[in-house]
Amino acid sequence: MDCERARELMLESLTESLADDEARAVASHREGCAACSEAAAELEALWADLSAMPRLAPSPGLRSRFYAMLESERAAADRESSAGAPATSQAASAAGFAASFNDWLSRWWPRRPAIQFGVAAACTILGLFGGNLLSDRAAREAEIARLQAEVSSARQMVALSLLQQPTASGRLQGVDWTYRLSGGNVEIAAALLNTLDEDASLHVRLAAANALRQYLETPEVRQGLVATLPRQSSPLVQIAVIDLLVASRDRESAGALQKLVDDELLNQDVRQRAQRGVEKLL
Amino acid sequence: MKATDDTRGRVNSTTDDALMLQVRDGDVGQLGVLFERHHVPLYNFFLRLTGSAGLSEDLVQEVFLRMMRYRHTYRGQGQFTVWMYQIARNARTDHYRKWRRETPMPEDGMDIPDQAPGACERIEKDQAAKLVHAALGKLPDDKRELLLLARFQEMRYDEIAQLLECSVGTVKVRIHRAMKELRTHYQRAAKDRV
Repeated sequence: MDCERARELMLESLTESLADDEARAVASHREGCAACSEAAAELEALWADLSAMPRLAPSPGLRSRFYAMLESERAAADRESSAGAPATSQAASAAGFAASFNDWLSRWWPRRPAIQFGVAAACTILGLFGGNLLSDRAAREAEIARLQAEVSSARQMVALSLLQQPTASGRLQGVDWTYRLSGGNVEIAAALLNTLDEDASLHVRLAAANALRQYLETPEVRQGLVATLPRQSSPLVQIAVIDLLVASRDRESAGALQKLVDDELLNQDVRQRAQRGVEKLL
Repeated sequence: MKATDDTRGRVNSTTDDALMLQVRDGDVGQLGVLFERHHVPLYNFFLRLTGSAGLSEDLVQEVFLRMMRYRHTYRGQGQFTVWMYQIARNARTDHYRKWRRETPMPEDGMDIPDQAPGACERIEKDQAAKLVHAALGKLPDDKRELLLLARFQEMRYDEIAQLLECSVGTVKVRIHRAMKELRTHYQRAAKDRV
């Protein structure tokens, strides 16, 4: 066996066991050839060193970022599943409830006119008495509205402040807070668009895109989504924005999607999603 | 949310495949168990390929995000490792496509931690690890990835074949070629150090 063949077989012996006669021939060659013997030893050591390279630990931040992402995704999944409950089944259960309530009421309602009159009189007296108690209802309602506005303002402040946090997990919390506010909040919509546009973290941008779903009725938000599309570099965010534009049913955004379809340098999945979006919008 | 003791305590008691099926079917918290099992090997896979700790962490996060987002595409059949590394390769490719360049792995960019107790042995192991690392850095991307999968990630050849969509025989041939080239770079690196 020459040296070249011996070295070929030595390489092969790393990934599979050689046939007995080949293994014997290599061993015999190694005994007689110092260069090949050295090369084989080196190769075996290198093969062993490859699997023995030390494993390095990532920073603790990776774990916290993962669990923040998991939590955010879980919350989004929960919201989707609760919003996605079929409307027909809700209507069916409402109709069933109304029917059984009627049955229950008809069993209790008195049949004799005299008793019916008595019940009606009692209800009138109760109504007059209750009316006095509720005379200051308007004032209480105004107070409740004022408190609600204060709570909403505080929530908005918390959300906007969290969206400016230096850590991605902090900003993710900020995005989560925006769900506690009403959908028409212009300042929050602008902050979410800004986050989608500029945040350094992919996960925060994705979370912001998801949160903007509740603002699709606002024309400025739809325009913002169209404007951000060419500036986004992550295929995941691009797909999320495409989905939002399709969900908004804004036909004017079809042009922006068509540009993505025409961009041959773009990720294939993004182009396909944009193509489907154009078909749905037109 | 932090990993609970309960989550960590169950590591290895359920197969990756079964856990991913649970994630797919709505028990998304089980992704935490898979994260605890695989984030360090995945991080090292990316680290050895890119040489950048920050980028490697981002890519690990990206892999788990994609696992979450595309969980409904998981088919089971015991193919979790192949599926995960397919996602990992795609995530890395997408990253480079985005930046339109390859990031070379730095030859001495990583600190190799001490592991052996004896000083001489430790120095020798350090030297060997650094040489292997330097030689790996000189390999083309595909060969480096292949050796990392086979030796560092300890994937079976049939799994690698499935991942790379080729035969087991082709995997072995490619490994032989990669080893041959690695040895050349290793010798060169050793000579340069002397």
